[in-house]
Amino acid sequence: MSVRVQLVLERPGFRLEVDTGFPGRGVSGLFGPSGSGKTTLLRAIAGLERGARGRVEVGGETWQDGSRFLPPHRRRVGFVFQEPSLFPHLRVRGNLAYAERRAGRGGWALPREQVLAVLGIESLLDRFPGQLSLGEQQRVAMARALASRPHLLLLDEPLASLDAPRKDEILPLLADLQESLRIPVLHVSHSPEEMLALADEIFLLEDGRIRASGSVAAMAGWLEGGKGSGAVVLRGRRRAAGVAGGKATFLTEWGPVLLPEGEVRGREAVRFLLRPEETSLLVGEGARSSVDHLLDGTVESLEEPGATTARVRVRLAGEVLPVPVPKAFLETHPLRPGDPVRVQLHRLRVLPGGVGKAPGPAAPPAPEERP
Amino acid sequence: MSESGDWVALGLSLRLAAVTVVLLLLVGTPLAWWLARTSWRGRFLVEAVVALPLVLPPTVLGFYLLVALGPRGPVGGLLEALGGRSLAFTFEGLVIGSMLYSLPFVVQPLQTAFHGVGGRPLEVAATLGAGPRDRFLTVAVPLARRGFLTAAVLGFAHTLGEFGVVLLIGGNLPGETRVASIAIYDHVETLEYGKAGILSAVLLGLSLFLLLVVYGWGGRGRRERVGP
Repeated sequence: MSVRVQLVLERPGFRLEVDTGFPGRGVSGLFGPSGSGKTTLLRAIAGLERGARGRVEVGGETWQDGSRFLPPHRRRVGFVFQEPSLFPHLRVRGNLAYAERRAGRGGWALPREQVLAVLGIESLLDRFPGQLSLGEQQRVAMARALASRPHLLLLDEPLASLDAPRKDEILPLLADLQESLRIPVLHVSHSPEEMLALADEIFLLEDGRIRASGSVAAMAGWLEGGKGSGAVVLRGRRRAAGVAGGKATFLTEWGPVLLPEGEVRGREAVRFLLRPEETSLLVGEGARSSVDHLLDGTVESLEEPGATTARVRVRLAGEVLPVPVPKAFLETHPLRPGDPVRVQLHRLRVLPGGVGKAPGPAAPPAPEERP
Repeated sequence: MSESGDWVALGLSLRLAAVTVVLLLLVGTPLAWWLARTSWRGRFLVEAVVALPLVLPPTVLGFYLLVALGPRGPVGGLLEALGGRSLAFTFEGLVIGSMLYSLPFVVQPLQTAFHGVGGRPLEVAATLGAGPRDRFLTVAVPLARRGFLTAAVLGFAHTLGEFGVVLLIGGNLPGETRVASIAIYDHVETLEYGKAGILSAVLLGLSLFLLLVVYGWGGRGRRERVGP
């Protein structure tokens, strides 16, 4: 159930031209500055932009091609707009029922009870939208989008209208929901933090075109301080009975790491951000380190970008981390590609989100959901 | 003129206003919806024509209608040729005149209300699977309900108070075209100030009551949105 989008939309002074595929499951993050066409792309996929030409295929259904254009109400899409946009004349219950009634048999992309519980809106069902806070309204809007049994979920900066505390409150819920969904999610944002915490694949949009795309781990550098900053996102799962001295053990692609329980707050799965400048190299057999996290890797190549600093690109499992070292160090410790080294992680920034089950290798394959 | 004649005239006024408002809502709702949603550049032409009765002397409108609806007019002549009768000096003729005369009072509040609904709720409804008619009935109409109330009340009250158009195309046939405002005029002409006063007071009270409904409803609506 993949998503294939090939769209062109022209407006005075702006041209959107996208030809790409999005994975059939998981969160695709559309990232880019304002005015880059993120919202327009989502609207065009939903059929809300009549002027968009091209093809849109979702899970084998053709929503649009040269000869036909399904109107938005015939596209099985869930859309969460930037501002909550609940129907003010209907209670929360009525807003959800509006979607349920039109979704036909089956309803709900996830069990209703689960969505209501995760989003914490069971107690709000009899209220009118005007009686809810913005954060509550946006949570209801997300539930409503899921109630319409979508084949594709489009989120247009759903957290943008919220203040920072609200955002921190909703982000983990969103991550949890998105990880249990079996439909593709396109999540638009211009917040690197949101992208790092939620997205599995990142698509970088600029001036109406997709400039780059890749896994969140590979694209972390783009999001954190621009291309080439070398930042990496690691995902870890809690290891059972791994708590010692107030720290919990998480198993990552690169090996186990210890995280203070206070930072992970009981989460089963976490993502953390690793910045190269917060790492250093440990060379030589039997050397001791005062740092908690030591990862084994091999030298990939050497870079000398500055007059006094060099970077040793270390391969750790699938990813390469550019670890900065003083040039003088390389003169006393010559390194060659293939040499084993250890990387010391001085700091792991825990990203919000990832409350639920991690999409690890054990995750079941997504069954096709067809009407 | 008898007292009962006045009540007949008042009843006729109310019937005329009711029929006119119902028909105007049927015709005016799609027109207002289209005016609120279209991006056609010529929209202002239609808007100007709709607003025309606001500034036109009622006698001018009445005169043209009389000419058009009379036996020698295009509409009246056609009806006679088809075996009907001309609409001049009939209740049906009054309804047509009243509809034109009160058109802006119904279309403008509706247009404003539909415009106020905005595009977003309709887009949301579309993404939730609601087709165009469904969206209109379940989102646009409920959100514009205050506009409907205003349109209905203003259209009703304005029709109740019309005089010039009625006088020209309806004449003064008791039970058929002699409405309350004409009856008041008759009483004043014949110096029956007492009877004119009673009928005037009834119309004044009725109009005030209708406006109180409009403004009172608005206040309650505002509280509803924030209260428990």
